[in-house]
Amino acid sequence: MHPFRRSLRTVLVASAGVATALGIASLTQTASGQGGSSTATSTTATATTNTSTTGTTTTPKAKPKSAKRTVSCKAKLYATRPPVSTALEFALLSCGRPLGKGVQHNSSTVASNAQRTSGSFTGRTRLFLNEGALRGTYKTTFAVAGGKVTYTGTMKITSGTGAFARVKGSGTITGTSTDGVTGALTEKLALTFPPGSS
Amino acid sequence: MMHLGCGTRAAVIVGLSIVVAVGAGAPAAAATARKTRNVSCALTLFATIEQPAPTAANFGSARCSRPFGTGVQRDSSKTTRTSLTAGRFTGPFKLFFDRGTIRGTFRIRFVTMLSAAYQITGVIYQGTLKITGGTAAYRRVRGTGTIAGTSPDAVRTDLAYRMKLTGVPPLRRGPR
Repeated sequence: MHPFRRSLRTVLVASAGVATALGIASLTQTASGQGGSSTATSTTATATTNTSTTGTTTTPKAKPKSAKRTVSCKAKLYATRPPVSTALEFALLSCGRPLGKGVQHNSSTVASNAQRTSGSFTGRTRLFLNEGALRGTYKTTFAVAGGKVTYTGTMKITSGTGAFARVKGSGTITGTSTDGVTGALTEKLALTFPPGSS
Repeated sequence: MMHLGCGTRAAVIVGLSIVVAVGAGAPAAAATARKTRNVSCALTLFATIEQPAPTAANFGSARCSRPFGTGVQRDSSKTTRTSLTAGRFTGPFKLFFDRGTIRGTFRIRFVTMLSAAYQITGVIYQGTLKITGGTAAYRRVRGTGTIAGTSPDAVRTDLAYRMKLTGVPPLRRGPR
């Protein structure tokens, strides 16, 4: 064989091998999903079952389980108007992983006593984050004492979008305000992330 | 004619077909990235710093055309006054949506209208914006746009964005 032909053959075979390897690698990567979802796999368990017909032991792939996480958020609250019968609030959010930073948007109805020294906010909340959003409802009671407003309440996360699709959970809200317009809240959320999510 | 073994020939065919298959997806992605889309947004912003002041900041809700949908904006800016009643805001902003965020900078001129008793009766805004980046589904979004709007009291402001954007992903159908 001519030396040139032999080298051409070698190159062709080598490139085919590289292309096949690349193709397999890319297919494997696609099948395993996105790289960032490492936490979901940590909860995956491998089960061992006995088959009744053969009596041999097999190890089938276990279904990936959802992951439960407790995430704490600090919210710097700003009420767009003094809360009388309805309230519309925004907050700068700083949450733990995997939520990160964002903006919270609350809209609620206000119920209070005649002196407006205690009452509650009941409404909807949306937590907009870099990788997606969470939606839910909340109920917070407030009490005015010593020139300070104290907030205590609960939150329920009903759905999510983007990287937080199908995330659900609940949590607590605590916080204070000196003027009823700006405030500092702490939200502790117990969230359930579906299999394969962040 | 060069002779290749049966196994070798199969490997070559498999390799080339995979290369062709992978390459076919690239032009579609590139076309999406290059395509310019007109996106408009209607925003209602609330000032968190009372004016006049050397800085300004707003929170607000946004309603944008597809694929963005509803979201919220957070912005902050420096105020430069050119007269008692006019000036400009320059600073960064970030729009948060269900599938990600877009961020950029804006420059808005404002003219304040005063009554005979020097009460604010309205503010007119006009300016430009530049989208410099994004996150999640909108990480490749870039572009420019115009801003126009009014405010009755310099606290609540209604703005309209008209943007020309590239890198906008197609609208995803089905459950989110």
